[in-house]
Amino acid sequence: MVGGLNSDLGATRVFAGGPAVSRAWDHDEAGLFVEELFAHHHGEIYAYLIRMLRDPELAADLTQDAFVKAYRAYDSLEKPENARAWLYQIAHRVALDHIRRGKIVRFLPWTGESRGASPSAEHLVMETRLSGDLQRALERIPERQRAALLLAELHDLTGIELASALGVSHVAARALLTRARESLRQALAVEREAEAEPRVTAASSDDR
Amino acid sequence: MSLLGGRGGRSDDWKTQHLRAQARAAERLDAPLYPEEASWLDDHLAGCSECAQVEADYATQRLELRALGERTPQPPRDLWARTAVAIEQEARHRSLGLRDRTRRSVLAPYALLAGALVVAVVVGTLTSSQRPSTVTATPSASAQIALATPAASASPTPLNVAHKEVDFLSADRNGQFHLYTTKVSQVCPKEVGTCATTEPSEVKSIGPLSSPETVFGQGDAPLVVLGNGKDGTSVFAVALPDKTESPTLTPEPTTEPPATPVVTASPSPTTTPATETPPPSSAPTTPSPTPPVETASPSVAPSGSPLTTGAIESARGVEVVDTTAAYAPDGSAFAFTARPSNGSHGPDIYLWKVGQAEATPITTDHRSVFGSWAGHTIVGSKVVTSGDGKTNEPAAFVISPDRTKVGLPQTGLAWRPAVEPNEGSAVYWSGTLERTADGLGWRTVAGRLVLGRWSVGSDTTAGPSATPLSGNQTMERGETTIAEGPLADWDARWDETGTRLAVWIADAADPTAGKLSLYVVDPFDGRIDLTSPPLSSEPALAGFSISNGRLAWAAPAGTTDKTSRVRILAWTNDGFGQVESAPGDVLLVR
Repeated sequence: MVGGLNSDLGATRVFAGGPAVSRAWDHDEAGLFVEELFAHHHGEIYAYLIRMLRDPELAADLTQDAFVKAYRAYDSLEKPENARAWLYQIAHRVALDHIRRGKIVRFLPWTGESRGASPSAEHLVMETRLSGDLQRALERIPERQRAALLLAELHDLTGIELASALGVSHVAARALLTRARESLRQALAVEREAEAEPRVTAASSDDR
Repeated sequence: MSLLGGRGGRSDDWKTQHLRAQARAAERLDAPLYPEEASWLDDHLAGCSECAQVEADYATQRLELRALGERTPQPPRDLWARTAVAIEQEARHRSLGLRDRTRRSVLAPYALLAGALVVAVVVGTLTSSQRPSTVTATPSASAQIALATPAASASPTPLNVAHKEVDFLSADRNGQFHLYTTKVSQVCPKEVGTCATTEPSEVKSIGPLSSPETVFGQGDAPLVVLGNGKDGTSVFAVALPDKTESPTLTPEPTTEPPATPVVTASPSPTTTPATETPPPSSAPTTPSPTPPVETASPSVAPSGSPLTTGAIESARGVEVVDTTAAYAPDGSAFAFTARPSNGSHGPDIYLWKVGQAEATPITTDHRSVFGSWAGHTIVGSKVVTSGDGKTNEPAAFVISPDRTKVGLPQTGLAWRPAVEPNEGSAVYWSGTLERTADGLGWRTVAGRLVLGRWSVGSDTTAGPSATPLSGNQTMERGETTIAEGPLADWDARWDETGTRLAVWIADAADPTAGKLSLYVVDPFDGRIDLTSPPLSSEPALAGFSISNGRLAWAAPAGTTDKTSRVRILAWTNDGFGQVESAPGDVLLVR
């Protein structure tokens, strides 16, 4: 049960003196809690989601969802010092839920050309963009591995935080991260090989 | 700190020692190994080039991953407002289901403010060949804009979007301009055509203006109107948009209101009061028509005297140069490029601070032009002529509004850089320049309009110093060509997130009209895909607006329409949709 946030959150105003004992869910307290949480962490949560999903609008929507869920589940946070990892855990689940839904029901929004037959213009742009091979490789690896890498390397979560965010044990989180590094290495090799092929072909043609 | 290489990874657990080494190499990036395991790994790597390469790959991979973090995506400005509304709705739901609540929600103020976080909008200019002063009134008589085109007979499925606002001016018969704010909450998929109509929710009269050409807005800041003065020179005027501040500006009530500007939108607008965007809570800052203070610029004769009702003239005797001008992100000041109308010298960057009576030049070399704002500083560019006088090349610089800090962001060619909000990339002319025929300005010669990486690089507090390019500029900045030169004019603008980029390229024959494109910017590497932009080379008049999930522009008169239209492209993660006004003579606020 929430008794107060860690000092990093600057939430002493909200929870100063709050007893670390279980209490009933309180709307005002939950609201202030999420407000403080948002003020300190919305940027990194948004960044995480945009890195996972590569869609700014979707990331914004899911960031909003994550904080609403945090509000709803406010009384499930047992230790205030875990607030950041707890929030990442919520955002992570929100992202995975979205990805899983997308695998079941593929949304086919307007493309400007043929409704219902093509992916969205946004999606097309994302798919065909001249993005780096690293981004493409990241998209090739399993979502949980991608999440582990992003959280560890770009969001600086500690091992314990990473485990909490991913909802697994510390050992499992490390193992996941190790597998993710190898998956990404292989995916990168594939991407770079594919990228090099046309050049090789062109060079061979030139040689003739 | 935990140690790895123990449980679950005993030396005899592995199918091969190479797999063991590669796993340990990955693990060692995250935490130290047990000493004996670390020692074993080092010995193995020393004798196994393949595993050593894997370890090197992991290290490189880490560097590349962390490099992605250097570009931090910026969340939308209204994210908290949206979230607060959602939480408030959740709270109401809970309170109904759980208990009766009597206390007022702590989030209520945010919910009320949610819709108020509106970025002032839109596009500017009239039909390419028809300025307001010369355009023949449309058959709609006093109507600023004719009634909407009929709604499509098909039953469309509109795309819901967060409230988008578009502001525009339109003149009545008496020369009185009215400011309209149109709120759009739904847009139509392209193949559906028009859906229905919605009316502007706010109308404010801003008094007669002298031949306005383009208007700029920013939140609650006064409108900045660029137009022609009585002496035939361009002027820089400020309108007072809030009728509550000036009762004389309140439009006369009419029994038969002019045909209301209409924007096609939803088939059945169902905007409820709960989701209506409330007016800004704070009163707009209005300029004080105090006597002008002395300015160091001999080329500007500022006047604090009222130009028209509701406006003050902030600069006269100057000609505004090119289409690039903008409010600071916080709306505190407006920057533009101008030169004396008497032709005494070339252009400088001017700044008008909200509340002041005059605009003043912040450069004095008479060869500098405004590019964009980068936070609270101004990014400009100037022309550097080679020693033999044969070539003129652009160089960018950063200057603070008070002129106390000046620095060179980087060497290389960069003319009129439009820097994205995160300052990680910019659109600029990479090429050479030459003097215009009158010898006062500059025009592009050989080169390209590009998107490239951008770095402020130098310490702007330490005076001019540059981050040099160590190699080929195109390669080093990762430049992507948007258009090949020479270009008559262009305007590049970013949305607040830096993930949408709109670029307008002027037609060579008529630089008041051109083509507008919208690009999606990869949040990871800042690059754009030119092959499938959401909006590609759409005919548009000079001046457009991009913010808050929508792009608005004025479509030029067609072969059948004699007037222009406002068009709005809005997007969500569900896709893109658009709405379009009925034809009319409009002056969009950008």
